[in-house]
Amino acid sequence: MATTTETEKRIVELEEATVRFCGDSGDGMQLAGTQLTNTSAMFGNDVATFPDYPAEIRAPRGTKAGVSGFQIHFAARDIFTPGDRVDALVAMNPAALVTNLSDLVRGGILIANANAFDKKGLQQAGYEANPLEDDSLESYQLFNVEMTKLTRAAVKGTGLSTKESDRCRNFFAMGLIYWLYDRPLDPTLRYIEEKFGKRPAIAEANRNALVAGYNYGDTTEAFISQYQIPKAKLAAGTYRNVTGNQALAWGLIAASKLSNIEIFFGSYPITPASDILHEITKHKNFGVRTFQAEDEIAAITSTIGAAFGGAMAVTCSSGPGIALKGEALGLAVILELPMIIINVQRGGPSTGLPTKTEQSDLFQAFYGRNGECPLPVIAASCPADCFDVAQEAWRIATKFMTPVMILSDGYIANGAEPWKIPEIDDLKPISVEYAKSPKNGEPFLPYSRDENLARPWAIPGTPGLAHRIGGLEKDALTGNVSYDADNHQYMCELRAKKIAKIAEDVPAQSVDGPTSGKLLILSWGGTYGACSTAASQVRHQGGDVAHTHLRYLYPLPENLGKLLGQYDTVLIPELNLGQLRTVIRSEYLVDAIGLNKLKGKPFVVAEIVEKIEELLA
Amino acid sequence: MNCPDCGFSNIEGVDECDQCQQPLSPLTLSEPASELERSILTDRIDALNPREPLVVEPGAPVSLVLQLLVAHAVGCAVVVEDGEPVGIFSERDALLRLNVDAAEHGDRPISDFMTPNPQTLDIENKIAFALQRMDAGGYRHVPIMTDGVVSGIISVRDVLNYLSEKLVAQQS
Amino acid sequence: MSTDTSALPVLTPQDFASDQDVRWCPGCGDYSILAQMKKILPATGIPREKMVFVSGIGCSSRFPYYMNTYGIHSIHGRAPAIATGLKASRPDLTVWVITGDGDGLSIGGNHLIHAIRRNLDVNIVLFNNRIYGLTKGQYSPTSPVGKVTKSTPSGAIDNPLYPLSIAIGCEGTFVARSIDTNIKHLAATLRRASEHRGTAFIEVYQNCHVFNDGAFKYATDRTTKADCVVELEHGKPLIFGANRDKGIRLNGMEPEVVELGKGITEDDLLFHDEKAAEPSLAYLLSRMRQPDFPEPIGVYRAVDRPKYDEMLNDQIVEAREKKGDGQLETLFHSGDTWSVE
Repeated sequence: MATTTETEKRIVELEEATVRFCGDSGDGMQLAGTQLTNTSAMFGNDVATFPDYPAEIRAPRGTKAGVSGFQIHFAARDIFTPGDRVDALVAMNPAALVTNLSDLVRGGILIANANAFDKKGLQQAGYEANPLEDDSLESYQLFNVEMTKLTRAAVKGTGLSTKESDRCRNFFAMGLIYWLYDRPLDPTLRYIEEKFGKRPAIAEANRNALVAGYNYGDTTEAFISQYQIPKAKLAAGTYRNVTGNQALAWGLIAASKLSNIEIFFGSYPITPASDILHEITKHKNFGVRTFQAEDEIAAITSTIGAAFGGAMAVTCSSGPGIALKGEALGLAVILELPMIIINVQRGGPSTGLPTKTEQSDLFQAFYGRNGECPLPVIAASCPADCFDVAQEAWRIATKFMTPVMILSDGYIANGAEPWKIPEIDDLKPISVEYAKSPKNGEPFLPYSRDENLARPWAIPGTPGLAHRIGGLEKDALTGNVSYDADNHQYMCELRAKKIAKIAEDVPAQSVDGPTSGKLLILSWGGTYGACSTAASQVRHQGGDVAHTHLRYLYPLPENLGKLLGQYDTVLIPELNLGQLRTVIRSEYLVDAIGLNKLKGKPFVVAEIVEKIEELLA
Repeated sequence: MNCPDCGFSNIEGVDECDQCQQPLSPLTLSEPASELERSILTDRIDALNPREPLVVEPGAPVSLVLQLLVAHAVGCAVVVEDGEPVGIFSERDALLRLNVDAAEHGDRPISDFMTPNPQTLDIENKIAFALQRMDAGGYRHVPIMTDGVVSGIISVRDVLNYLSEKLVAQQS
Repeated sequence: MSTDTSALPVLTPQDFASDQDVRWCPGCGDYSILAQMKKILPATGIPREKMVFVSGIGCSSRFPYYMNTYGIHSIHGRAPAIATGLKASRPDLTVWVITGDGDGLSIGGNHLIHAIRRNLDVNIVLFNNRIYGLTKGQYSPTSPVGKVTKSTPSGAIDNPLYPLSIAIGCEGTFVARSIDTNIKHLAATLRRASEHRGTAFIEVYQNCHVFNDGAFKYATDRTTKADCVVELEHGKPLIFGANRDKGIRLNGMEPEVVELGKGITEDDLLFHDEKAAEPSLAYLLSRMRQPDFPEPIGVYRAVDRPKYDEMLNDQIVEAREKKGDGQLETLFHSGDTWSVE
């Protein structure tokens, strides 16, 4: 709906842009952000997002604790991060401005709702003077837009009260940004019609606000330039946006269908994992039985009970909850039952930073249980990857009869990106068979093993297979409780061997860039986007750097040692104090270098590029 | 709660409407409905202009206290010992505890008939708080403390005056 | 050991004996409970491959190893939670939870409370020996004040818990008490528990003759038991004593011991009502303790309430009826999608 006007508007073509909406929790920034995301994705750009939720649940209006934000990076090419720095910041009130300004590039576009910068608002943000009126913002392209006033004017005539009119401000902000970045209005117009159909006055008001915002950009002289980001070349297909938690839930449901076993999901609410429970419990028609347990330990032990009964048993939590589950995890390992444990990592230690991202639970995943207690660990690399990782975890769990831990993090969990919807026929079935009744009344040995060292999955209700298992050490042959010295040695080594053999079953580790050379970036988990972008950026400029990203953390892929040896230096960027680095050094005697950040935020590409250039110099 | 924008019935407490994604969180915070409500939530007891209290010692004879109440035309006396409010004696106490035997008890100390350990309020407390306390406790008079010392007294009538003034201001 | 379930075989206690040597101390009350369990299980008619015994940690929790059914010997205190996951996903199974006063009321207190309040269709048997036996003699949540043990050489100072009062406080739908050596009563109580639909909670007074011998002597000794125990029977008055000449009467809201004759007849006594909707009567009975009152044994309460596992699975059925059986294609394409050519 771009209108041609008399004023000279410059059209600037850009490869990419990063926009952040921020305001009070009541300003509807999440909706604005999601709409821009969907619109850009439908337009044909690749997108990546990062929502930033407020620290407090119900902070008073206008305070810093109530600031909520949403960042969208959209581009004419494949992108993997939500953007290092913000090109355009929309600040709906002073508190939002003061908390987000530092991320805006110098010379970046700053659109502020001038009407919110009154005495009270400024005071709540800690401003002595109004920054919109002094020179403090002169290094940015500042646009003082009276959004409240303009929105109210735009929706006059729809019969809405002042309070209701103000709820349309986010649509005004959306409209303005849509003009600024030459986005089509249609998808959002359709959204308004669909969602607010039952309230025609509100639908009309939202429409008016959106168009008013758009026209404001078009007609206001202050806005000289309009930016265009062309479509990216993406693979053909049908797409949708998914967040990591959503993709995990759907991946689990897919695995359930592909293995023909119904899910039992036992969990306890904890940030940032609760949304997996919320999503998966909507799909009871897939036979998903969810159980909100009384505590974290009941969550995992109920999962163990369900696994014993033959269900696809899953539990999920975050760092502190996984710590509580330690003893039960040990029981699951020694029982050798298939199940999935999901850790959506957050800032630690202890209660830490519940709403901030980190990847500091690697040691916990590897070593956090008493005794020699090996547990396979795999990590997702981005929101869409969670869908595949969930299925892979169940495949490994059932093939090797072991619990498997999936590591995700707050950034992946809440971030969104487009996901190409797979053809159902392309999904790989996961073949699982329960043990069958013995033919000639022969006794059942619950710890007999197949070529994968996996024991049979004999579920209650199957005649002839009645057996008792428990946490005590068991005899290698009969499975009965055994305190025999040699047997214990044998069993510990056997359990370790079984898990180690998984390395033979997973794809070989591959590399982006040269297969040998000066520098290799080794990464895991949510740092995938920033690391791969940094490495390819430096390569583009002629630097000798390769990147490899681990999905399988325990056991590590068989060829990893050899791979690492092909480079002079290995750099491991991690959102912790060097946990994978410690593992790599101890496993392969490789003196890897760490780049360690613990700020509750993902890496920005520039930070990694800087370190690469330092190491290549 | 029902989303005010699209009407969808959401689970209580969600931050955004499940259907249209408009924010719901600020709607669960109560906003003062009127100027009057806002003022009782923001004004403090000093806005009621607490009066100087009539202060007596615990040993003061009943007859004296009764005379003072009449002379000062107040409804209650605060009994103070070593600077601490230890009791309160109101016209209600006179009616219920002395009654027709008032003359007989004339020489007895007021401490025998006072209500001990009176509820007090701080001058910094909000009027809304004072209102609630007076209603919950059934108090007609409450001694007011400033920096730990009895500095004034307020009565139900003072609250009535305040509310009435605000109402009139709001209506006009 | 028949493996053919097409015709229900008639099982004997031998079918439930597993090949493991029982490791309890000679003379342990657990042997008796094991024997009675083996006796009543065949009579339930449920094939043994449909039975699962889940236990935690403790002498009591060795139980599953000695039953030739499916079993899980898990970690301390967590058996009710494991049973919840098992029964919720496999409502077709018969699940017994075996626990003790330490396993169930100390570390496992939380899980026990929630299993009972959910009315999960499982049978929970709590072996109460008022001591920690397996770890060699520390005091437990049911040990009396003043109990001298290795960890409380100056005497325990905690006010003890009473398992039945807890279960009734959680509105347990079937609550009962029996005694390890009263084999007829124990068998009958186990039998009734197995028949109850919903959580069936039984406290069994169990003697640990090594670390806490004689804790329940008053209830088992021939010379004292008649005066120290009152047997509950639905619809019958509470009468006890060697000559059945004593009874329990309600005085206001308190029970009192009275002598029959001398103007007091059976009709004046408290009549037991298992089916009372409010658990107050059952709670009152659970507070009757030595030396002031005889301790009631038998079924305190047996009422019906919807069962957790049944309701959970009903929701699945309902969801399928409403939305149709889940299809991945429908799920993935729900909400906003767009196409790239």
